[in-house]
Amino acid sequence: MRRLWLLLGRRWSVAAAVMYLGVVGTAALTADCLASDLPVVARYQGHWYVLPSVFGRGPLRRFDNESLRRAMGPEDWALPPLIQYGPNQATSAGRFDPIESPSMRHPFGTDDVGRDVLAGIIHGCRSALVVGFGSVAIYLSIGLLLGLLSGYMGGAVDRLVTWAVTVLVAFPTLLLVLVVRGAMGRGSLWTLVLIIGFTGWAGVCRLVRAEAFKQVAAPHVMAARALGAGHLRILFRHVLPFALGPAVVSATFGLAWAILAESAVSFLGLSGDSASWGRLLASARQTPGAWWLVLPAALALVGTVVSINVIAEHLRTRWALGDTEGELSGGALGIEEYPS
Amino acid sequence: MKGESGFVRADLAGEDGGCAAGAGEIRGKAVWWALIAVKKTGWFLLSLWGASLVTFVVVQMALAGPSVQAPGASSARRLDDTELDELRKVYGWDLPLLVNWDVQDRGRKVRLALRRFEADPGAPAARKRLVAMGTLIFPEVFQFLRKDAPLRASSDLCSLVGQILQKRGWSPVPKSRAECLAWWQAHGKEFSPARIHGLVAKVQEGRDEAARRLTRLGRFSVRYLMVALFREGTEAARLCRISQVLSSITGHAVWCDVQGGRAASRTVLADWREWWLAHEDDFRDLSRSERLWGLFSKTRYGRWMARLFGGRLGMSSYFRKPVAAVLEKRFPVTMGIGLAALALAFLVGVPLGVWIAVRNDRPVGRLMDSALLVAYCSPSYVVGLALIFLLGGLGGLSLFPSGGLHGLPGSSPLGDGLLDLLWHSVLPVVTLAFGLTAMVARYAAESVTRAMAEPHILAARARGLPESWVLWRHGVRNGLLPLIALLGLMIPALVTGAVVVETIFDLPGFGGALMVALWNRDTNLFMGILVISVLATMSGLALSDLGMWIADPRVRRKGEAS
Repeated sequence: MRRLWLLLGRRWSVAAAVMYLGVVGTAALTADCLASDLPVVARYQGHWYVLPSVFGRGPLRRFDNESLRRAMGPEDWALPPLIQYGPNQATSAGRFDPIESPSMRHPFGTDDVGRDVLAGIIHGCRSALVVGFGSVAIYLSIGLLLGLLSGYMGGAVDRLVTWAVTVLVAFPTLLLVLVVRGAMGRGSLWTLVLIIGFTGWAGVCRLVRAEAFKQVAAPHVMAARALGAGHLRILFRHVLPFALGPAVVSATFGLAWAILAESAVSFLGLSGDSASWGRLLASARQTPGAWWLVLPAALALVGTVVSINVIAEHLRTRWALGDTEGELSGGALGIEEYPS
Repeated sequence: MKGESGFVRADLAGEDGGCAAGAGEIRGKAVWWALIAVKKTGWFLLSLWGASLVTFVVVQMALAGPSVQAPGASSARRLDDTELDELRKVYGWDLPLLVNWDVQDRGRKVRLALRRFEADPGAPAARKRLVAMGTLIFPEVFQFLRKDAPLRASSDLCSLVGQILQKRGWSPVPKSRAECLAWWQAHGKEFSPARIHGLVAKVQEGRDEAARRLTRLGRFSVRYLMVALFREGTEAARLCRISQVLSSITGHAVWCDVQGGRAASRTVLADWREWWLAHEDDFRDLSRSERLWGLFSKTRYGRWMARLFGGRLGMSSYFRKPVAAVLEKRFPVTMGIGLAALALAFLVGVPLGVWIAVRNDRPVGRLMDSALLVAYCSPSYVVGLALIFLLGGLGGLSLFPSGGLHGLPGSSPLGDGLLDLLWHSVLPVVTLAFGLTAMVARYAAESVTRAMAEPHILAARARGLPESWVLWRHGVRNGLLPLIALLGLMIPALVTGAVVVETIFDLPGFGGALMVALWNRDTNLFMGILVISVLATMSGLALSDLGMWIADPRVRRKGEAS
């Protein structure tokens, strides 16, 4: 416990941020057990179903929680999820005005087509984190690789990479995400992950390149070379560890950006069918006065982004990266691109 | 950019010269500056090109052609095949994306169609193709007829020629191969360039007979008319006569107002130029070098670049207007809101940052810092929704209008003029500026704090300078320099922020146009907006580089040393 506290830098804000992200992460992982239109485990007409909303609905296709309960015989048995509605399930079908304010049935109300808000928030965690971690994983690896190569090899490779970085910085990433999402229509989240992943590596690359430049001229690299170490060994054992710190910090800030990008895209109506915080906010725009659509989604989104930023800043001060003046362009705050 | 050996050498040379005389040093410096400027500009252009290329490819691959819905909001009619072909042609979708391995000019197209026709004279597609090309096929067709072609093919071909001629209003139409050849014998010389040029000149003078004869020659005369049209300049009357003949031949209707004056003529010219860019290859033969260059120029990208260098962004397929005309009206909205937000961000953010920096060891400073972190992390759509909710009359107070740029005439308490406009733009500007302010403030706070920790501040205090002097002259002045770099980073935020804010507040700016372009697959419009935003970003970065360089002698010296 004490070690954990030390790891968190003895700061309440960081501990709170980690806990918050823990909750969001848990919600993302267990979203289908927490909120679903089908039971977690069910026995229906002699067959067992485990997480039917994930592993195939089979004969339960026709049911949701309520109708299943009504259809169950004496032998049948079901363990309902915590929230009994799926994120895309129109719960008040056939009503003239499907929107509902918070009630016992829907703790956070429903949106303008009758989808349960709490279920949307829970499944929104998943979209946000998938896009965040997926795209950052891609661009962290691209950025590390290209940055190391460019810093280590110099010359033409370096010129090329620097040029690519300049191009990417001027690149309206969010707008491009919009085009591709718009064209794909109901495309899955992975398109978003790929686009952000392949266009977002400029910041990481720049930092890694600067660090690699510094390390290549350092005595320990010269010593390693004198000992006969190969290029790969020098790169990965003697240069990479120094570059990892700035790269991870930058990527953590980038995580927040990717999550914001995802919800911005959803807000503009391009979320496809994945539940997302941005989609809830967008529906709030269509129904004025529905505070229950704004508040939970905004809190979840801003909370996540703030937590990530707190952790990133903590990492930065802990690893004393704050003073790489100028090299961390956008510098002290590690701003790569301002969230929209 | 460090370690450019060329510049090291230039610098050294400058210093060597400088040993001898002051003038030499200055000249060396000037050369060095010039080199730097050239390098920076080159880099700028190269990056611009790279960004535009990548954007273009992505947009083109993603949006896959304009919407196939017929124009007009009410009509849900889908376009038929010929209309669709025409649309594809206008927007360049008949061309490959980046490299055209098969450049087709008039001659090649005709020969291909003939070959296909020869292979299967009965196929309706081949016949339709030939007839659609009209009189353009005549040189090749009569050559084909002269050499002894198979009987059936040649008589069929002759009937096609008859169809074309009938459509153009020739009265005795040849029926057999012999008649066809005889017709060409009699009328072939009317298709000679010299004759057509003569006719075109007469048309310009207003001779109806010449116009009639040109129309009879059909599509074959279009390229000569085009040459005359573009040579003519902007004299309305002569321009309109040519334009009318062209319209009657090609079916591309262009409204030409004889009394319209210069501006109207220019619109007509622009319209035809756009049309010609898309259709040129149907009417003209290319020289060998043109065909080689066509490898790149006869592609979607090449055509788009050609337009861009002429300062044109193409036609918007949704608005049926030039993209520039669409964006022209929207530019002031986006620009105004962006600049206002930027100004607000700096005007509020900088003092706030300094205030926090002074109090950063007290609880109030820390609290403010955390509040700013939250503000910085709140995306503009959350802020916008919250503001509409609290102040825009959808729940809380009703102080500001929640959308649009103007109220209905007479509905606003502030009149219909500038005040109303300002009143309407309060919420959008605040929304856009909200996060930016937080960013500026946090950045300023951190930077000033760091500047205040420098030894020279201690020295200044030790000299007994008043604290305010130390803070403002030594701390803030040094601390605010890096903010210049921030300016460049904010431009992309402004562009993407504009999309969101304009969507929330229903403003007629770039953001709205972007969403329209997106939903309607309007590639040209989309690319136009993207290019402008890339240009804005790049110039922002370049400007902040320059500003840094002017404001901070250390940066300059670092540049010189490398």
